[in-house]
Parts: sequence; structure tokens; C-alpha cells
Amino acid sequence: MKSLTLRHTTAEVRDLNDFRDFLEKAILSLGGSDDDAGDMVLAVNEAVTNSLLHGYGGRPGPIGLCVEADDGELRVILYDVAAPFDPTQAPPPDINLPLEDRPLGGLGIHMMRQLTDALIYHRSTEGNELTFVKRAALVQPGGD
Amino acid sequence: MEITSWRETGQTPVTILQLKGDLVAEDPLGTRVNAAFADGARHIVLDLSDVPYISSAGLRAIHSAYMLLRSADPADAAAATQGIATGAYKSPHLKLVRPSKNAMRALSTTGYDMFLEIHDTISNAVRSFS
Repeated sequence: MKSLTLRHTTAEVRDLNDFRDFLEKAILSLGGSDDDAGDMVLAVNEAVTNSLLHGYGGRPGPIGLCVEADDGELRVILYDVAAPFDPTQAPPPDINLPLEDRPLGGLGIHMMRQLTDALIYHRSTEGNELTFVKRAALVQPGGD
Repeated sequence: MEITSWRETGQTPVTILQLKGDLVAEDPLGTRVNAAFADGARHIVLDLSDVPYISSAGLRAIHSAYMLLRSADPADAAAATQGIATGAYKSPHLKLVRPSKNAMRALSTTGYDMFLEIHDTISNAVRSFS
């Protein structure tokens, strides 16, 4: 297994661009395709935004991202130490509703689900761990 | 994010908002759309050709723009309700131009491309209002 990690001890919303850049480069360097990187960046950015805005209430806090490539599977694990929050338990929005009938919230979690093959939540003693999985994702040799 | 705006006067006056940078918050797009609406704009084109990335917060800004424009056209609400079911409805007030691959991914993942026309050029988008 290969992995790349980025940790910010005092992450803020203005660091989101750094997280996106890291994710894209890490996924591509571990053998993921442009589409894998695009999907993961969009999905993970929503979760990191939630951690920063809601988990930490807009105050600086620790955020970790670990990108793992193993046996054709790509995983991104997001760590934070905010209060427990399990996005996998949120009800899915009905995107077939007219726009005016849709709640303004919930789109981010919908994007996380739609753009990944699995979304796994674990609450450890240290905080929240949210794992984004793309299966059969490593198209380039050496990305095992 | 930088936003440049201008108005094309023709059979149907159209306000163009040309966005530059990531669309990851409701402002400044929300403020610019509100100002254009207060100034009489009822047909708006969002040029996304220089927007590398759109988050759900950016989508909410587009959503709010769509709803604001529709609030001035009650007939549009009925058309949307009927047209959504058949997949035939597109907003007659808000159109998009050239979203990037990543921006398109956000729009299609959330179903916004079902309601909003997407054009290759600003001129095509402007002409489509006539």
C-alpha cells in the first residue's frame, strides 16, 4: 500500500484550496485518473468544509487527509477532532424535485455519496474519521 | 472571485456575469445577482468558462439566482412544475456558459444541469433568450 498524508493543526476555510491541490496531486501521483481525482476532490472538499464551518464553528482546528492506494482501490481518509458527526446517516435529497422545493442544505453530503463508491464513518477516541472509497480506480501502472 | 458584468440590449435585454475563480461561496455572486435584479435584470447569463471549481455553496448561489429570477415570473413556476416531470423544463431566465469539467461534475451530480441550459458561447446563450 502507498499513501500520502497532509495535516494542518490549525486549518481554516482559507486552507481549502491547499487541501484540494494536495488531494489532486496525491491521487494522480498514486495512479488515479483525472476523473478519480475530480470526483474525490469535489466529495472531500464538501466534508472538509463541513468540518471547518460546522465542526469547528469557523475557528481553526486540526484536519488530516490521508490518501491511500491499495490493490486497485483508492481511499481518502479525513480526520478531525470535532464533535461526532456521521454524514452517512443523513437522508438523501430528492434531486428530481424542482429547485424551489429542494432544501438548500444537504447537497454536499449528496455529492459525497454520488461521487464515491463507499463512504464509511468511524468515531475513534480521537475524533471523526470519514473514509471515501473509489474501487477499481487505479489505472496507471505502479499505483498498487 | 472576480465578477465582470455587462448588459446586452436587444429584443430581450440580457445581463452577463462573467465569473473568474472558484465558486465556493454564496457571495459575491449572490450580491451581484441581487444588484442586477434590483436594476431590472430578468435574464442572466453566468459565464463559467473561467471557474475551475464549484462547491455546494457555489451551487446554492446559482440556486438563489434561479429562484430570484423566477420570483418575477409566476408563469415560470407552473411551467417548471409540469416540465420537471417530463424532463422538458429549462429555466427561461438563467443560463450557463462553458462550465469546466470539474464545474460540470458538480452541476450534473446534483441535477442542476436538468434545469439550466448550458451554452458553448456567451453569444449563443444571449441569442437563446430571443
